[in-house]
Amino acid sequence: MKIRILYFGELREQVGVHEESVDLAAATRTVSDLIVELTARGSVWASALQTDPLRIAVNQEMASLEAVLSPNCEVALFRPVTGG
Amino acid sequence: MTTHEAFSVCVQTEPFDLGREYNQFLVGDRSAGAVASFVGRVRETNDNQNIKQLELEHYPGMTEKVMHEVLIDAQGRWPLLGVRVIHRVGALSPGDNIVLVLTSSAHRHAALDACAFIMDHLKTRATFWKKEQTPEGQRWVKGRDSDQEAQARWHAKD
Repeated sequence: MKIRILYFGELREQVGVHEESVDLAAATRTVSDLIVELTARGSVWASALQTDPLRIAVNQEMASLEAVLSPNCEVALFRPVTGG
Repeated sequence: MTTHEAFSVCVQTEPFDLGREYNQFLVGDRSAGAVASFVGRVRETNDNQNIKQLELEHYPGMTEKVMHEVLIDAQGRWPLLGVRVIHRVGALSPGDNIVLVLTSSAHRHAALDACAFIMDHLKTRATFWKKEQTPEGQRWVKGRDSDQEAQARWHAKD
């Protein structure tokens, strides 16, 4: 299954990627699985994604680690928002 | 004068002018007895550091969607006649305006409370991130517990 991943703010700087398309491993079903898959990319990814607090949006709605991914969905990873 | 939408949100890099926005917001309106406004600005100090510049990043698409959701939530609570929200992104300097909220209603309590409600929810839900340039380097602003508490007080009885 292919999905689009967006990274914002501090997390974007930490992983050095703003946006990517990823063909997920067959076992990757949920946001939590996705974090595991991305973490396996290496130390930068592991330290960025395993540092709290992490916030997740799926198709522009806030989502939990248990949220199930669907083909072509848009996942965004970021730190808590600080606008206003 | 172009027609104006009574309820609107906007993300922009350009500065805004409160007086101009106020006048435009009220074009043709004779029923709003109360208008509340809030302007958020860049402070020259934050957490004991001088701020040289503030960079605001956002999630295009989701930001506008969340801003609309916050407006709809406010409309569900108060009899509002109009809401205008402008949030700037990009490079800002101390003293620059960041965010504007205008609310109108027949009476003051609805306008004032809705204005505060919208700000408290923008702070905790809208997908913006601030990065500060200080004399000691750059740093990403951390979310504050006080902002979460400010939002939570609106939902204490829910």
